[in-house]
Amino acid sequence: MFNELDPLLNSPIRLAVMSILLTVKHAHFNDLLKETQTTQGNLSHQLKKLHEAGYVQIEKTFKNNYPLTIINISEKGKSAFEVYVENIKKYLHLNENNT
Amino acid sequence: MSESVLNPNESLAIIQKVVNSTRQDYHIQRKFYILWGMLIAVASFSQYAILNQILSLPWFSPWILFPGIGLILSVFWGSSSKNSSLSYYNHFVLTMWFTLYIAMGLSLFISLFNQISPFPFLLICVGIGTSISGFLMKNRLFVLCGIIFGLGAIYCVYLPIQQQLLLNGACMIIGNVMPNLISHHV
Repeated sequence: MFNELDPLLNSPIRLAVMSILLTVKHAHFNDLLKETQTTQGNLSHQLKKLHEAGYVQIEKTFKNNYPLTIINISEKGKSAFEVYVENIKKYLHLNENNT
Repeated sequence: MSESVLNPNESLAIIQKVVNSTRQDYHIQRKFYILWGMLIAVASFSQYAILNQILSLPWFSPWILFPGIGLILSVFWGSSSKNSSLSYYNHFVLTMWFTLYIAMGLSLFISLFNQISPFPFLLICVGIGTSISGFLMKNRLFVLCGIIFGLGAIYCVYLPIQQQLLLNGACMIIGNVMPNLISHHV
């Protein structure tokens, strides 16, 4: 049953990141760090996975001589998230029927 | 690195938590509202002072000086914060105000061309922006302030130009500056 859910999204940090990115035009790395309450290394690792899958776009720039990472969700990421949510709904619906 | 795998209930809980927290993320920077409200009010009062010969300056000078200051500060603040996270709500509000500023500019041009007072049109534009912001934030104070601007626009029609200047300045302070100073929900 769980195999139907996208393994890339079925992890707490990545799902939280994708959920945040759906509600913003773009997000700052530090804002994601604050919202997800994880470590910098872990967030970078999870973002790398999402980026490799084409779910997010990452822009690295500078602001006042400090590195700045801006992340936004891609169309592929939006579609994957929609499918993921639909699958959750289906699963919960089946679960309700079973009980 | 081992990863915890979510069950659908946990997934739904995470999504709901994030959506609920961002729904309250109405952090449009109040300083822009306060800045422009103050500058337009000061420009209105200054022109009133010029028309009553309290100040000896060209009548149009406040409308070049104060919006000029506002433009410079807005560009400076905007460029220094453009790389932070931007929610769709904030993006919508910024786009709406940008469009309304164009509408205000056009209203000003048309009014001056036809030699009529621009203040009723300017108050309507600010009132629309304030009301929509209030409806989006579900903040009654801002909706009320939008209505105050609308009433001010109607009342303007019955006043001579000098009193319209005072009314315009007062509306900016009551309907724009004060709610942004006292509200913590913006």
